[in-house]
Amino acid sequence: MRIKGIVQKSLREQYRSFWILLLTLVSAPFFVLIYQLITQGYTPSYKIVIVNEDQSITDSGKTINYGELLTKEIISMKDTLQQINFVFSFSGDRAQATQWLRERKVNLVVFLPDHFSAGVDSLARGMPGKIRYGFSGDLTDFRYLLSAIWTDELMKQYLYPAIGQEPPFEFREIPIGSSGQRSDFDIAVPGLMIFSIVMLMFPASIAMVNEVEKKTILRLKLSKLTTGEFLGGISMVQVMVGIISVAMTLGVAMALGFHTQGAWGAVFLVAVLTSISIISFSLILAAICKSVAEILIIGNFPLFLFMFFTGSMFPLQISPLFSMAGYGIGINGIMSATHSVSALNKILIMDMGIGDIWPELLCLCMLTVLYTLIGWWAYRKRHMKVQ
Amino acid sequence: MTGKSKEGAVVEVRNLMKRFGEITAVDDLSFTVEKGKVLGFLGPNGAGKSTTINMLCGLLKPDRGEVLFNGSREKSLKDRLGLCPQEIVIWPKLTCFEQLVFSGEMYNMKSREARKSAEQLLSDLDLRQKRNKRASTLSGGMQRRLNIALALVHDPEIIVLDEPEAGLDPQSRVMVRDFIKNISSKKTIIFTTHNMDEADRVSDKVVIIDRGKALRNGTPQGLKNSIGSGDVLEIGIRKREHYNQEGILQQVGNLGISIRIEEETLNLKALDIIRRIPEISGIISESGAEITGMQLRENTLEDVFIHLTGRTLRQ
Repeated sequence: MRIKGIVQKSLREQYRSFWILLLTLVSAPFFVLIYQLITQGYTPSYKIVIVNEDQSITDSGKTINYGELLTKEIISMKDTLQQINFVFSFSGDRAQATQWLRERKVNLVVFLPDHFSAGVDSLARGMPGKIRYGFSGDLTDFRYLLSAIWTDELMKQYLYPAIGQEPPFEFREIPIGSSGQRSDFDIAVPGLMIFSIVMLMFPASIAMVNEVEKKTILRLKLSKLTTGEFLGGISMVQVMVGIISVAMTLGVAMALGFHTQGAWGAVFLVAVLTSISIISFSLILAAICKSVAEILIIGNFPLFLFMFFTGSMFPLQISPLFSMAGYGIGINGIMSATHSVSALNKILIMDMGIGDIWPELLCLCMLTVLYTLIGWWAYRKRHMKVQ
Repeated sequence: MTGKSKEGAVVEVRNLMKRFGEITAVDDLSFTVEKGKVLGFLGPNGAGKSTTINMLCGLLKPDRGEVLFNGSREKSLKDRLGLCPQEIVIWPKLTCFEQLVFSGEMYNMKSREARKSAEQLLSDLDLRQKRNKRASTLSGGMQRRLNIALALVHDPEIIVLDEPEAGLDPQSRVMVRDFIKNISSKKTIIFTTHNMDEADRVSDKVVIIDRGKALRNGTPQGLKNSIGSGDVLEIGIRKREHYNQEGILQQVGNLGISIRIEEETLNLKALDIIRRIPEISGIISESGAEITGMQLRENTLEDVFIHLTGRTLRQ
């Protein structure tokens, strides 16, 4: 009965705080829209320039330029890589190609030196020799790494037969789920969905601290209401807001072209657990603060941590400190959203199900319990207890 | 565990003490309230009234002493006590009706009972027309009345009102005063005030408190009588060049009249003082002052406070 009263009151206050509710609900869908406008559903492409400085050789009166042959062959072979969009182009100007790299117009420049044909020819004749070529690019750019690996593979596929040898290996890439067909926009959506829940941190802690600031907590302390009922009632409403927010984010993303074959039940479960964990974290924030102004100032600190170090805004690679059933947990693993992002990526990008994300779900649950215990204890001690 | 309580006392406060660091806010305070009576807790700002109220309501733990209800120290008095705090404590985004019902439900009232009680209180406190208005849109006086209603919605046995008339317009003040008088037939009421008039008009019994200590308690009339019978004559003066304050104090004192001088007002108290006005006027004129006005009145609780502390309630 009392918890029902708290839920009703909290719901009324929530929809009467129109701007806070609106901001919470539309932030993430708006981010999705902006992101889509920026990327325009752009499928990632990998731009490679081959600078051919190779000097042709003459064999039996026939001029051969292995550099040119290689580049033609690569074009024909790259069609076999249907899941990755490589764009090859050619240039004779090394300086120009290097400039394109600096301007990030291309991801990889392949240099074929002047003695490239001579090297291939020597080896083809069974004479000692070396085929030399070079790669250049921004080594911190994952597109460079991917381009380099594949270009090297394609080059070897051409060069082994050219020198009269069978390639000693055959390489085949198998993408998990639909990850190979994902655009930048698709990759960002799971993180943005979690971001929409992270945004709950403000309205949830504001709802809890409002009673302290307006001193109405006094009336609640005098009544028979328990701390658990009070915080539970508020949390229920906030979980509802969280689910609506996730649904809106996903709805906008799908309307803009995001598609998934992921398990919807698993998505819902992750959304609910994440909402509860963020609300639990908000409890800690509400216990520290005494006013809405304090929430808005102090709350920025954890919000930024949750935004930037959980992978919700952009992919993040952090060395794991330990692992659980093969699931690596790094320093950012103390933030529940890290596990939510990982779980949603697995569901929506890699088409996995609940059975594949149990380590993430376990971490989420454990962190939620931890946050709740700390928050409940601190809130009760700070705001609800007789002094 | 508890000693024998005073007969008929609903609330008995025994040797209550509370310190905040070096400051003793409440110092060995004791008093009783009988069932169906109104107890006025009179004292200046900072006297320790609100601290005492908070300890009474269980919002603050006393460092020493105890509060007995019906002779026993009960752990939870929550549903038996209604507090109207000094500040306006309302939910601004809820309507008057919504928050009264919500508040009732928090005391385990059934929704139907809470709604009935809310309707009755809105009517009693003249808030019926504002039933569906959000509390934030009410005037200050209306918010005060809603503040009182929130203390009563769960039909408590004991009502604690902390400065209930603070910030009220005269019309609302009369309404609240009448309302307290009306409910006092059924409830036990404890209220704090620094308004002597309010304490005098509403209370069956008054406890005068200053610097955390109860200076005296009793009925308003009993307290007024305790500082001596007689009337109070207030004389306004204008000081002249050879004004001699010591002369006035000595000569009037020799007549057996109690005298106190505040700036340009002489405050004299004695039996049958009206017949001694010519004598007093002569002394004032001889001492270099001109009389600008005179006012004769009965003793007030403020006089009692001044008598006990040497200060006014506003100081």
